[in-house]
Amino acid sequence: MRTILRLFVSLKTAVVLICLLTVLSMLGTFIPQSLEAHEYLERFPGSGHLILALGFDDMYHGLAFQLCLWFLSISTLVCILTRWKSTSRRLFSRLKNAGEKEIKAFEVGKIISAPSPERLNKVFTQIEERENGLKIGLRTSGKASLLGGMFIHIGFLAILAGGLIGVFYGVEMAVRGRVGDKVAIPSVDAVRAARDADSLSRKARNIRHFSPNAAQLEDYRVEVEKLHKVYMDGLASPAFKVAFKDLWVDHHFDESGNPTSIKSWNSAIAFLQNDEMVASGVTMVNQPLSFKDYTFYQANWNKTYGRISVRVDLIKDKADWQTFVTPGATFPVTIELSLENPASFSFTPLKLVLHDFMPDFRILDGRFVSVSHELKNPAARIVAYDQKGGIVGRAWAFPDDRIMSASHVSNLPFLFTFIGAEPEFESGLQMAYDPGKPLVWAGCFLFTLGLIMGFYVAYREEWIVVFDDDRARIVLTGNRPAEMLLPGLEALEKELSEPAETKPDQENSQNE
Amino acid sequence: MNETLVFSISMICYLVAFVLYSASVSLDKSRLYQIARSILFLGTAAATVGLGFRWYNAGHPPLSNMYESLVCLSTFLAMAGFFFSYKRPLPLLEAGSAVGAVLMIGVASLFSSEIRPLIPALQSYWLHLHVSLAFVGEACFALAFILSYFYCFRKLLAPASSNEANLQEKTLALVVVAGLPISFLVGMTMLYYHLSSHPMYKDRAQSILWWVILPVCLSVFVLAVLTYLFRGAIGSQTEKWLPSSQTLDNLTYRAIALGYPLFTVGGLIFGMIWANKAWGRYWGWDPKETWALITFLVYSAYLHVRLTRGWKGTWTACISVLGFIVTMFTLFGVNLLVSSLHSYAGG
Repeated sequence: MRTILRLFVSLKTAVVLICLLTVLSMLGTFIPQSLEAHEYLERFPGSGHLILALGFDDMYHGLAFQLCLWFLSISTLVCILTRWKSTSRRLFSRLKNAGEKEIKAFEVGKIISAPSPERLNKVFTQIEERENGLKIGLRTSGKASLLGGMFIHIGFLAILAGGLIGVFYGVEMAVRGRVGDKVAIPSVDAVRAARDADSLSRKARNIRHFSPNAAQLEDYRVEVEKLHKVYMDGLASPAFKVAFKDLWVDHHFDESGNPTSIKSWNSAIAFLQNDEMVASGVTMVNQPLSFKDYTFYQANWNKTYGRISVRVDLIKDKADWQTFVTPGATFPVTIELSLENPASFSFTPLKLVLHDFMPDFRILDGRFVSVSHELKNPAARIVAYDQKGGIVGRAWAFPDDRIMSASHVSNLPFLFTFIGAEPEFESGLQMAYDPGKPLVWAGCFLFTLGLIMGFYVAYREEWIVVFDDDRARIVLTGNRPAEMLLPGLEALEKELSEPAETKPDQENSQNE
Repeated sequence: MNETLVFSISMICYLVAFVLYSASVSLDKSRLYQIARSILFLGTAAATVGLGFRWYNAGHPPLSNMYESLVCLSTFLAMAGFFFSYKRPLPLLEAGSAVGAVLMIGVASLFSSEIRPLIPALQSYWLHLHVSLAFVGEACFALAFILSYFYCFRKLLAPASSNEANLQEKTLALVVVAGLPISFLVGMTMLYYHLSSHPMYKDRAQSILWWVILPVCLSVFVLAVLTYLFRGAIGSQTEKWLPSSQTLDNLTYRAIALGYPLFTVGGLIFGMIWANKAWGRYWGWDPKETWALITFLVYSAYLHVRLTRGWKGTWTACISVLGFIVTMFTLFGVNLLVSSLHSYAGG
C-alpha cells in the first residue's frame, strides 16, 4: 500500500503520465477515429489490427487513455493532500517552523547592524525569540500565491470529474427540421439509451468482423434491442416537441447592396407540450436556447429541394415506346415530382418516383454526389415502376444546356429535362444535456484563479535574524528571481535604519 | 489607407533593427543598440497601427484568418521582446524577436490578405478573448524558444575545458541548434511538395521555394560554415554577446511562466466556454482542441520538472523548444494538414 502511495506521490509518475497523455493525444489526431473495423484494415494494412487491439480507434474513450487520466487524477488528488500540510505550514506557522540555517541559505541577504527594538517591532509583524538568544522576525506579502498550486490542482480535478459525469450521464442528439415540422424530443433517458445502443452496435460490428460466431454477439443483440425499445418508447411519448416556425438567412451586403456572404442562420422555434406552445425563441450560431433539460444550438444548415419541375419529351426511337405511353397523350409535358413520393400522370401508365436530387452534381471516385446545396449543376434521378411495383426503367434529368444524348440519360422512351426546384431550408440543431458542466465551469474558475495567484501574485518573505552581538541578517525570498528581490532588500535595510517615529505628545514634551 | 503597406514598413523596420542589434553586439556599440531599439519600437508601433486600420476597415478584430493571425502574432512577439528587455538590455533576444516577427509576416504573405466578413461561427466576443490571449501566450512561448535556442548555442560553443557542459548536454544542444533549421527546411520542403501537387496552390508553392526554402538554405549553410571556421572566436565572444547560461535559463522560465497562464486561460478555458456556446459541448477532441491540450501538457511538464524537481539547463531548454514546435504545429500544422472544426482558420 505504501509503495502504491509513494508511486502516486512521486512527481516522476505525474510527469510520465503527462508525457503518456501527450503521446496518446497526438496519436489520436493522426489515427482516424470511430471508423468501422474493416476500414482500419483497408486503410492501414500493416497496423490496422494493432490499432483495433489497443483501442486506438476510439482513443479518447479507450482503455489506455482512460487509465492514464484516472492515474493522473489519483496522482493529483494525492498531491493535493500531501501538499496541503506543507502549504498550511507556510501559511499559518511559517515563523515557528523556520530555522536559522534555512534563513541563512536564502540567496538574497546581507548583514546589517541590528535595528532598535522599536523599529524591529514596527517593521516585522511576527517576531519570535529563540532559546539561543536569537530574535527572528518575519513579514510576508502575497500569501494568496501559496494557494495558487492548490487551486490549480483542485480545479483540474473538478474539470475531470465534470467531464466524467458528462461522459456517463450527458447526451447529445441532432434535430433536423423544415418550416412546419414538429420534432419529438425524447426524455434524457431515452436519448441515452439510443447513444448506448449505437456504441454497442459498433462494438458488435467490429467483433462480428473478426469472429462472426462469437458468443457475446447474441447478448449484444438483446441489449441493443432493449435499448432501442427504450428510445422508441421515448419517441412515442416525448418529453416535448420542437416546432420549426421560421428559418431564414441573413447576409452581409456589398456597397451596391448585393448579398456577399452569410451573416447568420436563424431558426425560430417553439417548444410544445401536449401540442400547446409553452416557450419559443430564435436560435443562431453562438446564441443557444434552453428548454427543460436540454440546450439547443444552431449547428447545421441545409438547403433541400423536396419538389422539382421537369419537362417530359417523348423519344420515339426507343423500341416498344407505345407500351410506356397512354394513347392520345401529347408532349412535351411539365410535371412536378416530390422526393421518394410515387406519382401517376395521364401521359403514362407507369408510376414515376424522384429517387434522388443533387443540386451540385459531380462524379467523385465513381460515386454520384452533390458538392454543395446550391443549384449549380442539378441532376435528378427518376425511376419508373409498373403497376405491380417492378422497376421498368431509370432516367436522369439535367437542365437544358447540360443534357447529353437521350440514350445516355434514360432507358425509358422519355427525355426528362430539369426546369426548376424550389429550395427549402433545413435547420440542424444540436441538442445537448450535460449535468457535469457546472462542475467543469467551477473547475475552470478555480484553475484560472490558481493560475493568476500562482504565477502573477508575488509572494515575498522578509526575514530578520538579530544576533546578540548587535548585528542582524536580513533576508528576502519568494517566488521571484533573486535579481528582482535585490531592490527590496535595500528598501528593507533603509526601512530598518530609519529612526523610530515618536508619538506627537512625546515630541511636544521633548520640545518643552 | 492600405494596411499591407504599413505591415511592409514594419517588416523593413524589424529587418533593419535586426541588423543594427547584431552590429551593436558584434561591434560592442551601445549607441547602435539604442538606435536598433528605437527602430524596433517604430516597427512595432507601425504594425499596431496597421492592425488598428485593419480592425477599423473589417469591422472585426484582425484574428479571423491565417493572415491576420500571423500579423497579430508577429506584433505580439515584437512587443514581448520589448517587455522582456525593458529593464535589462538583451540585444540578441530583441534581434531574435525581430527575426521571428519578420518570418511570421513573411509566412502571412503566403495567405490571402483579403478582408472578408466574419463567418457566423466567429461572430462572438469570445473571438477577441480566446484568440488574442492565446496569441499573447504563444508570443511568450516564442520568446522562451529564442532564449532556449541561445542557451543551447551557448552550451554547444562552451570550451571543452570549461565545466559548463558535459558530453550529453552538448549532444542535446547540437540536436537543437542544428536540428531545428534542418527540420524547418524539411517541413517547408514537404509543404512545397504538398502545395505543388495542387494546381490551385502552385503559385504559393513557388513563393515558398524562392522566398523561404532557398534563402533559409543559403543562410543556414553560410552561418554553419562561418560558425565552424570561427568557432574559437565565436565561442569566446558568446560570453560577451549572450547573458550567462543561468540568466538565459531564468529568463526562459519567466517567459514560460508569463505565457503559460495566458495560453491556458485564453487558449483552453475561454476556448471551452466558446465551444460550449457555439457547438453545445465544451470539449469534442477536435484536432485543434487536442493540440492546444498537447501544448498545455508539454509546458505543464516543463513547469513540473523545473519547479518541483529543480531541473534546469539543457533538458528544460529542450522541453521549451519542443513546446514551441508543438505550439507552431497547433497553429499551422492542424489548420493546414488536419481537417478540423477550426478549418476556417486555415484560409
